[in-house]
Amino acid sequence: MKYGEWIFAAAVTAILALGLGLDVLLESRPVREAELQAPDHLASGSYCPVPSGDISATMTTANFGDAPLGLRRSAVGAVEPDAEQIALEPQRLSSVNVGELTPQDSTGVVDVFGGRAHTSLTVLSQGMGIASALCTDQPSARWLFATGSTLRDDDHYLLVSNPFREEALVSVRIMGSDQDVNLPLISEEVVRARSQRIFYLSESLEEVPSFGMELVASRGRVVVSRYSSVNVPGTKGISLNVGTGSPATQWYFPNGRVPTEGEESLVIVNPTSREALLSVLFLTEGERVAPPDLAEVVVPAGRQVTINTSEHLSRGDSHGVSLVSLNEVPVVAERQIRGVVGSIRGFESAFGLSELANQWVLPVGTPEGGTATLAIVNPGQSAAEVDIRLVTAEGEVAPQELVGVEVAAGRKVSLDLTGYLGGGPATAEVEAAGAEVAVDSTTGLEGSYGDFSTTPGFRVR
Amino acid sequence: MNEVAYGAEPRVLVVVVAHNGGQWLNECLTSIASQDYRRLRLLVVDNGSREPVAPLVARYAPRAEMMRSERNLGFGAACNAGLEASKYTHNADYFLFLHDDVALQSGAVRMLVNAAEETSAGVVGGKGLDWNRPQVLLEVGMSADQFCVPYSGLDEGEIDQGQYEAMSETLYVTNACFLVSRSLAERCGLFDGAYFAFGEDLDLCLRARLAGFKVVFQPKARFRHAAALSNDIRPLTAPIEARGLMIRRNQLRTIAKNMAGPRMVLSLAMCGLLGVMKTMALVAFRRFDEIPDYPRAGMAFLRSLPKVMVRRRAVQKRRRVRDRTIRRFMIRDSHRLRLQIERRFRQWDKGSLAFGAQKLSNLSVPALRQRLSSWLHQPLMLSTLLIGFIGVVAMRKVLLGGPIAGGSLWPFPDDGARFIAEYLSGWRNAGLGTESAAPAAFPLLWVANLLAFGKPVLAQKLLILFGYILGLTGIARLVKRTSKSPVARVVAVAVYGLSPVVHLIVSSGDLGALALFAGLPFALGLSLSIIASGAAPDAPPVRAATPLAADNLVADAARLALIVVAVVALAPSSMVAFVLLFGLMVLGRWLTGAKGDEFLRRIKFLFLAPAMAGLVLIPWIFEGLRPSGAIFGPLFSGLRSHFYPLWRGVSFQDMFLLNMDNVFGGLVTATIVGGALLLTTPSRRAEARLLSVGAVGFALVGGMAGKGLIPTPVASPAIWMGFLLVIMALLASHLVSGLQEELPRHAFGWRHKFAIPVSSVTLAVGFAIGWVPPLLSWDRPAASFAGGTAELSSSVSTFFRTTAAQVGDFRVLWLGDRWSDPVRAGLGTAKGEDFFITGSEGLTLLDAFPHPPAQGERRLEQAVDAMMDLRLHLAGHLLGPANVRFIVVDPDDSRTMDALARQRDVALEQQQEGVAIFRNLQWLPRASFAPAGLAEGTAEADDTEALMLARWTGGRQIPARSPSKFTIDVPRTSHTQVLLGDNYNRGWRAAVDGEQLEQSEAFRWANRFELPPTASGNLEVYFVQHWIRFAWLVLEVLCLAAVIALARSVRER
Repeated sequence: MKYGEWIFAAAVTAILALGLGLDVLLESRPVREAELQAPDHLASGSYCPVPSGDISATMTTANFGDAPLGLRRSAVGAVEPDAEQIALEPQRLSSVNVGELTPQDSTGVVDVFGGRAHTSLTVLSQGMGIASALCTDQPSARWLFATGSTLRDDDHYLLVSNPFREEALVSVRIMGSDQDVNLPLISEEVVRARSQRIFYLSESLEEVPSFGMELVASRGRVVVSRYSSVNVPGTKGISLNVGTGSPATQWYFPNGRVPTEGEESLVIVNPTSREALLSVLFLTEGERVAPPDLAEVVVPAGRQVTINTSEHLSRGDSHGVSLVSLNEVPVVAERQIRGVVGSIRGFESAFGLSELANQWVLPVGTPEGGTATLAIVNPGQSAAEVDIRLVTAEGEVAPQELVGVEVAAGRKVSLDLTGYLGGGPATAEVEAAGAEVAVDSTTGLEGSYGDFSTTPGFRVR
Repeated sequence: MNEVAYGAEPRVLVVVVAHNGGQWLNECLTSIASQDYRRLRLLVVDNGSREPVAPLVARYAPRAEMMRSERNLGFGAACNAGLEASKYTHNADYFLFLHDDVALQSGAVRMLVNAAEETSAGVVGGKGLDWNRPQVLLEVGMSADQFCVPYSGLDEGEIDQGQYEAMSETLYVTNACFLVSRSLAERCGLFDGAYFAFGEDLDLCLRARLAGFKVVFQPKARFRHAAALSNDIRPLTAPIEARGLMIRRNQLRTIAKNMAGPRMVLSLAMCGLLGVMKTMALVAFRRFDEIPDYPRAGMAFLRSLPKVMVRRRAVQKRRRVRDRTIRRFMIRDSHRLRLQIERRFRQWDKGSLAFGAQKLSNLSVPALRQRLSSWLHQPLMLSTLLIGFIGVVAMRKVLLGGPIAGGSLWPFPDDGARFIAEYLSGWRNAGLGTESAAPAAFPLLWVANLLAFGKPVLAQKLLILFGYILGLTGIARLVKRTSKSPVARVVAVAVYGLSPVVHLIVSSGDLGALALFAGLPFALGLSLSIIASGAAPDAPPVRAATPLAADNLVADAARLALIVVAVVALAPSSMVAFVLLFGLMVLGRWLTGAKGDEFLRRIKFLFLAPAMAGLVLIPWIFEGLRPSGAIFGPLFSGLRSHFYPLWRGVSFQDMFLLNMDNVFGGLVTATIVGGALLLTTPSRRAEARLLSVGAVGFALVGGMAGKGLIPTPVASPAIWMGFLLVIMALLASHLVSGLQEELPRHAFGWRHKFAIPVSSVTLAVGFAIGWVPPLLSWDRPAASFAGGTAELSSSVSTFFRTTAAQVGDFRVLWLGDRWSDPVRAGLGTAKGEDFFITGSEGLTLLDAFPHPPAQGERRLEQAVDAMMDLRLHLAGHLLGPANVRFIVVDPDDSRTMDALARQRDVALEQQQEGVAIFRNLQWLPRASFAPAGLAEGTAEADDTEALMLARWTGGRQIPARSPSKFTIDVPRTSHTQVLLGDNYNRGWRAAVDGEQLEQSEAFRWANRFELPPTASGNLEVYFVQHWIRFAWLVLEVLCLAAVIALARSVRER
């Protein structure tokens, strides 16, 4: 055999055997994101279920983009030609009283064309309080709430809105802390096309202090909010929350406060069929607090568990909460306050944020005389630098004090925005650099509307 | 039967036409003389016999009248001439015409006359029996099809067992024994003398039937018939025209004379078409001698057309019966076609009967038992069976499971009319409408579907099994040509059949890759024959060492072209791979020392194959060669910086080592290639080097394509790896052959001693750990479009078909990861799309030949992207003009369900386990008058926002007459626009009472026609047909026939 034959055979075999090496040496060309970029935002619809009663409900839409947007505002069930169409200039917001769109109790609808906008709903109830919530643009067939009650004067309502031209069929099951109350609350109730239906929980169940709820639409798609009106000794106030569509393995509550009088509690519901193991951590402005007995909190499948923060923190402490599922079983968590925070006595129940992000949008407006607080929590390992922009009825506001706000790792920061707003609706955009954060805002109001309300931020994608 | 009293018996004149029929005539005359019918007269017409028949007649029928013609007039004309001359004609009640090779059995004339009297028939015929074997039936009443091709209804050699003993009406009887009543003769005349032979009896019977006479078969009137002319045993005085020519010409005449106007035109046109097709078939089967009959028959018919028309007028003037009444005595063409094919096969290969009988005898139980026993005692046979068994077990989930949606295994055209219409049309209802040619694979898939009884799922599985077995057979044959070692064959089959590449091919449902797997061994063998044999001194013994003659090379190139055609029709982009393979083979051959004119000549012949394949695939090749076409599409897609979807994640390991899961698979490759290069004799080593150059070349190109460093050469890595695999299998056979046959122990010493155990162990470990486990452990292939179960698929299809029957045509959008486009990864070009669109008939609109996405598809893609990215909540508005009426979603796919949940203008129509169907509330029929709100909203600004803001009210559907034609009377409303939800194409036209409407682009992709306010009358929207495509098709068939003829040329020789 000639020498050349050996060389040839060796070369060919070596090239073949070096396939592994070539894979390491030659990296794959990444698919350029730009190639996959889909066209710009086309349209979105936001839905704001509005409770009934002697209330005033205002929808506020903010345009943080660089181009004007087409806005069509209407209400579910209203005649379409009655819809109000306006153009919303960049860095502006626009408010409308839902009562102007439809005389009946309904769901406010905002259709946005040509870009992204954020709509929130603020509800004022004379003598009871204030509540605000971001409207949702994601109807779903499943909605979850961590809390609900059918106690006397602890009135909770499910506002089930069906903005679609197909009938919906909904059922609600409740998940209590005991096996006994794991019951169906509502079964196969029809929500007609383009209508809103309100379910008063106390009508369906005898007095149960607290339970979680899961609403499932076996047919159709709905938007579900929970409206709570509490007027018991020591606590008075209202709360409005759009439910969450799915449980999550982590929850963050930026603006926690142990009331000087009353209770703050974390209410956790596990809608899955597996037991969840949670770790709870408090993030204050100065330290990270990890109570040993909250290192592994067990939430049985289909049950509700309540954690009272005053058992672990001093009264009056401001704190954020980080709640993480250790075994990847997802849960739903809400924070509830009944009592006095600062000088305001009120009630609120608010969802946490199920993810961290670098960019958030959230309503921060307050009626005249009210206070607005923005809370930012950074559960990560590195510090975050946060810029805050405000859009009010007058336009954009970006004070220097709100630029480059540092949030240390594992800490919380609270910012009082009252001075920048001057009373009236406003929306904040929060951008964090260095680390992902979670953000929420709290509005406080004294006097006849005396109450506080916390609204979690909306993650901008 | 009533006896006819003597005295009242009708008078019968028997006319015997004799032409050199001496050997039968005496018996014929004797049989007539012995009839018990008394009022019988005999006329013998000597029709130009070489030896006058008068002495014979004088001897056997002395009272007979005699007449002679000096030349052969033909049977009909001779009969007519005889009757004109006979003195008995004027008082005969019946005329009985007989051939001279017919012998009547006793009582036949009486039976015929009785039948005529009893039924008032115009024509009566008897039961014909074979002259030499009177138990064999020849005629029991005759029929014909609409092309006037006779049909006896008898099997060949059918024995008379009394199965045809009932007197009955029939279409016609042959003129071998043909009783005609005087009333018929007076009203319709007798035979048409222009026919000369063949078909005049059918013509006369048809004329009789049209005039209201019956034609009756009387089984009790029996006669023996030698059929001397048909059997070519009648000596002829002078040559006559070719039988085929006369038969075909007379068929045309009979059609032209007797059929009603429209049917005559249609039948003649179809005869012409059939003639063209038969001519092509004759070219393909090299029966050149029969070809001239067709044009000559046509010309003869055309020449005689004026006279035929005169006669036609006379026939039609006497017509009392409609064609429909007569057609019930005719047979269907398909039945006759089947018999014709059977007969043809028997004619063409009479030896096949004996061969078949021999084969049948081999199938007897003892023979089979003996053969099976001998097989089971052969280890190599057992090994081969084991390999096949592993392969089938590996495919169990494919073979036993539901339909596969991946690749191109699903879209089998199942509607014949639609198939032909789309095949020939200039427009196809694929995607959002395309002008692309129908895919070349359409006919293959259609035939596969027909063979599977219209069950695409069965067709899929049969194709997979057939492809797999054909591939294994092919590689065994390929190795057999180069090696006598059975072990080498088994190893090559194992390499080819047990590679994880087979898993990739079948689980991805890539029908093109499967075709490649089946055809590549044959293609490689032929290309090696062309390029590697001959000149080089150390060439492997692929074939005889002497240079092949040019025509042998042509034949090999033609065969190679046919394989390339079959593969490229199903996997168009494999054309690129074939060209690269041939290029690498040339390079490898050059590296092994081939030079000179002979080498250049062989290169030309090698590349002649893809050229011929391209010619056969006209016009698809033109479609495919476009930058976004099916052949160059993947390549140009890569040039535009797009990954072709299926290539993502393909690594050098995959390509070099052919392993999918672990490194042991690579051992097989390294052992095979290294061993084949080192452990074989110089002659084998030359081919091993050639093949290894091919392997390395393919692997390098494939690996770099998978990395995205170069454009992807073909659509699927499975196609690419098929080439590597066949090379590897052949190399493996060289390795084993070298070890077993060619390396003598004394010459190779320690290498021989160690090489066998080392390579055996390495191969065994590689197979056992590297290749077989991934092959056996694969999961279920891609789910079907409707959930992977036939029941659900059927349920969803039924829903759409039922809805389509109620509301007309619409399109369906399949959305979500679970639904995979059977052909393309969506309508887009760059991404692994998760949606595709079909028509109401499900997947029949899909296309094995991707057409370039037009503006409509891009707009649709944008809408779907926006919907899936949660940036749109009125998708129905955007999908509506595209005629998307339903959106099908997997309810377990939360991302897609979330996207759908946002859409306010869609509603859940139906939900069942595994599938949710949403209805688009803004659906717009494919052709419609624009809804008022839509027309206003989009008249000025055709942008997306305007479309979404528009409120759709009113509008009216324009009914479809066919997929490419819509008509309606313009309603009295204020419509100003006609919208057509199809990609903008200047081929679309709209006209009101013939007046063309102005066309423009709507929504930046669809068609809009401006309707004048005063317009009234019939609106027609249609696509201009490109009849040139038919010419292309004919050309393509001719090319295919020519290539087949070339491929068979050597075999014939």
